[in-house]
Amino acid sequence: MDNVIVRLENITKKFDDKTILKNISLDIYEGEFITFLGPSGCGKTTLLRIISGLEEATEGKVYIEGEDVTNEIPAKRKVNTIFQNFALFPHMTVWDNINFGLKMHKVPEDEATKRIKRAIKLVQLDGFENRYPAQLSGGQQQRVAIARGIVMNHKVLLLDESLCSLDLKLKREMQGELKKLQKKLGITFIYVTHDQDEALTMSDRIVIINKGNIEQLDTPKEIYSKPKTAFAADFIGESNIIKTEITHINDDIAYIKLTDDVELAVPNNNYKKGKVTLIVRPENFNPHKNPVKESFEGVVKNYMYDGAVVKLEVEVGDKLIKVHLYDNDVFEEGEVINIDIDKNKVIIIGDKNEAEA
Amino acid sequence: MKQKHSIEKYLFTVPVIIYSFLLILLPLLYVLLISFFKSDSYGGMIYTFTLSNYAEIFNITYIRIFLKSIGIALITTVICLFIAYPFAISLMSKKETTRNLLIKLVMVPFLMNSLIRTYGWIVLLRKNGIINSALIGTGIINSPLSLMYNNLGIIIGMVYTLLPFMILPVYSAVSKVDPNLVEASYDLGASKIKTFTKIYLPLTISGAFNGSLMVFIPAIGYFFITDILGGGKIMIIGNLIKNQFLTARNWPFGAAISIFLILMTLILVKIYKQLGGKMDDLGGM
Repeated sequence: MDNVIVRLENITKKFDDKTILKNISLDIYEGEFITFLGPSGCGKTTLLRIISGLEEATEGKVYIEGEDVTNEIPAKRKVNTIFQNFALFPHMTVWDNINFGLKMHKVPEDEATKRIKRAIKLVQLDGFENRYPAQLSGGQQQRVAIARGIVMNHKVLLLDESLCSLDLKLKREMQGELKKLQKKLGITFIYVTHDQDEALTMSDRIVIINKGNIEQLDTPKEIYSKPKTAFAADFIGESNIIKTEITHINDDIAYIKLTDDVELAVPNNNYKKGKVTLIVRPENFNPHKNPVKESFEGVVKNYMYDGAVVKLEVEVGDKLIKVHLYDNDVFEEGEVINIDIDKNKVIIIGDKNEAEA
Repeated sequence: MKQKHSIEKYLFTVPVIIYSFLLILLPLLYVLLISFFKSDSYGGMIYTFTLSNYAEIFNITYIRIFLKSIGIALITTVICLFIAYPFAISLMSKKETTRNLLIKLVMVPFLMNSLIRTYGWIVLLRKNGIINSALIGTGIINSPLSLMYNNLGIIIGMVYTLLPFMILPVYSAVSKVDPNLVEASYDLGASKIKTFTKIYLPLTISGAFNGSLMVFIPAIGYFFITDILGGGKIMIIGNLIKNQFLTARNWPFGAAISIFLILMTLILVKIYKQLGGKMDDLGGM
């Protein structure tokens, strides 16, 4: 698990005078499912293309399996890409599509046949060998694209927003399958997406990229519970992000202003007085009918039933906060409720944008 | 035809029908008609039915001219293909504004009369022309090359005149190829040449066929290029027809060759379309 399979060293990419990626260094390990997550235009796809060789880095080095491939053409790199629109060759059958890379690498025919059959079995496309891409559904085309990649037996597969053209149900299904397939093959998947749900469900590690920088690199659980920046907190899951300040500190308790009238007391974690960003996940605010210890009051402005979860928007002073509720308490719009907070799950980020909780 | 009373429909189609009838169909029928007449020795026609004009086409002299025409047209087509593809593919990696500009430049020669443009080549190609002077001046060659008044001159002229007709359909086909397919091909280990033969060519074959037709057919008949750059020594079918009408004044024979050429062209179009059609199905485009 701890074998570095892809190493990026100080990668910078400029298009004309626009900087797309800024000095990115990253180690990717053998057998992991790693996701580049970020909004569109953040540079995540460019980073993937730099690994595959379809794009050249302006500065920096790319190593694949320990070899410096910075100046190698894509054909010479031991990685393959699954394109967003699958890029299946429309004039070739499923079989010929999967065979294409093997032919280009002059793999002997009997071995090629064995490998293609195995790949087809893995992606469950038996019986479709002689169809043309146009005769396949989106999900089947996706499988052909994957088979065409894995048949090369490389240790790294690059997937560029590979599920985003599928409809929601199929997408969910394919997420599970991709993850299973990756475990079964034991190879590294580098997956690019802007869909945080997808990133959370499938990844071993997530790289959050914003404006050409790595915002955070961590496991899904760490990223969700301990986002290091306001951007990471906002991008993954829902958050209340409040720019405020720590008014005073009393030994092991820090007092942080929520509104002019409401102050939260949270465990002190080497905080300093001054301006901070307060991040609270909606499920870490707990609404109650009656006042509880250290609760404050708010007015329900919006009530949304969403199956397993009820989403409230509550007005507290001059702020509107998001509160999620998982039990059956019924609140009505306009009702005054009492809210307390899971003190240990509050995230406070100092002015330097560094995590302090 | 279902809308019996739509006057507008006739209003716009009638001029076209009249035009086609008077200026294309009638003359063509006239040519067909006189191709079955006999000629007299004074350039007139004797109005008796004969097939001898068609029989004469198969005279070895004329068969040679036909073969030569087809040869020159084929070489012209192939050279145009070899220029058009790299040009079209390299355009794809350019910015859209650059691309549009270059394609417009391809069409600039259309703005000038092709006869004048062909005369322009004389200045470049003749013994003491610009190309020879430059090559001798720089010491690359000692004596001037024969660049015109031979097959080479004709082919240069043909390629120059007809190249835009190849570039436009080829470029139009190439620009429709999804760039991801090309990247996928590189990603899977294909070289540039393999990517061309396995991806670009099969997906753009209909464009190549269209372009080939648009180059091949005129190349058989462009007599003025052979006249100017071939120095009147070399004949293609176009010259043969022109000579029969204007010099030999044997209109029936000229007409018979014309009809024969039209039939040959139609057969070629048919073959091309059939091949192109089949390739299209494969391409799924």
